[in-house]
Amino acid sequence: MSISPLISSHVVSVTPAMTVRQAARWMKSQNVGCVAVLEDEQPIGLVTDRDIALACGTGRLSPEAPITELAAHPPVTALESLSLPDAIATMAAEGVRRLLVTDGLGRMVGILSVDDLVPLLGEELSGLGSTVRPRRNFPPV
Amino acid sequence: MPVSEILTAPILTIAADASVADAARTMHDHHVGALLVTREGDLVGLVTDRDITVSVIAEGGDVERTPVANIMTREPTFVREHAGIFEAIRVMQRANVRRLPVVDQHLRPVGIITADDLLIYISNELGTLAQALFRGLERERSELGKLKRA
Repeated sequence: MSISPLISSHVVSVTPAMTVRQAARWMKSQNVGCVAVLEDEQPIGLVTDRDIALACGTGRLSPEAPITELAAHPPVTALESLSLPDAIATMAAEGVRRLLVTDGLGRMVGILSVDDLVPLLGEELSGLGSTVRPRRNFPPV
Repeated sequence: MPVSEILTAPILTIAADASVADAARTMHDHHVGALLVTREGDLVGLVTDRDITVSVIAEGGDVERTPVANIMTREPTFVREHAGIFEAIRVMQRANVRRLPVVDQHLRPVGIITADDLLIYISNELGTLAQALFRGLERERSELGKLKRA
């Protein structure tokens, strides 16, 4: 099973020319926790609300600095043809909860996040649960 | 299983009149995303890394001059330390939050339980169950092998 049908194509992006403050405002208005930094449709970074809080909140970075200051490391990406187990293994190996998904030309096509996978796996598990045992009420744990 | 036994984050509090910069430094130094906000020891709010970004940085605020009380979530939904993990999940669902302060019988804060803590706990339990199934299968194979040889 490839990750292609599981990815979210709604990814909020910013340009490298934006400041950290502009990116923060954009995150707020779009109600998202991270933005992809795109250059010629290719992802060059991923910045989260936490990155901004820890860098600017502690005074280590001015909010007027370019967003690229926070996107110094290339983001962890995955090809859209990657299998789900390989994508999960990549998240585990890299210690990330989001993968930016790209096509064969390196252009971003979406994002795959732990937050999307947990409900999906939960539904599968619930379906499996209902096949192995009739529904009953468990006492509180 | 009570939630108090699976808390992973250290118990971190910050005074309501401390600055947002102090909160950011505490979050940075202790690798946490949220702090319990207290006034004279009582829980009065919860402040997250996201609150700092969207309420101060995005708005051009001064992190050194803005008190945590201005951006915190007031009177956050909480659970008691003896609440079970399934109860904590239901409370998170109802309140639509992924972090809950955990308090003792005197409503004093003892920690924060996160959706990640619960996911890790349940996943580990499932992994242990999978191991039990796998070992059962292995044992049966080995016992059948002995029967065939006998």
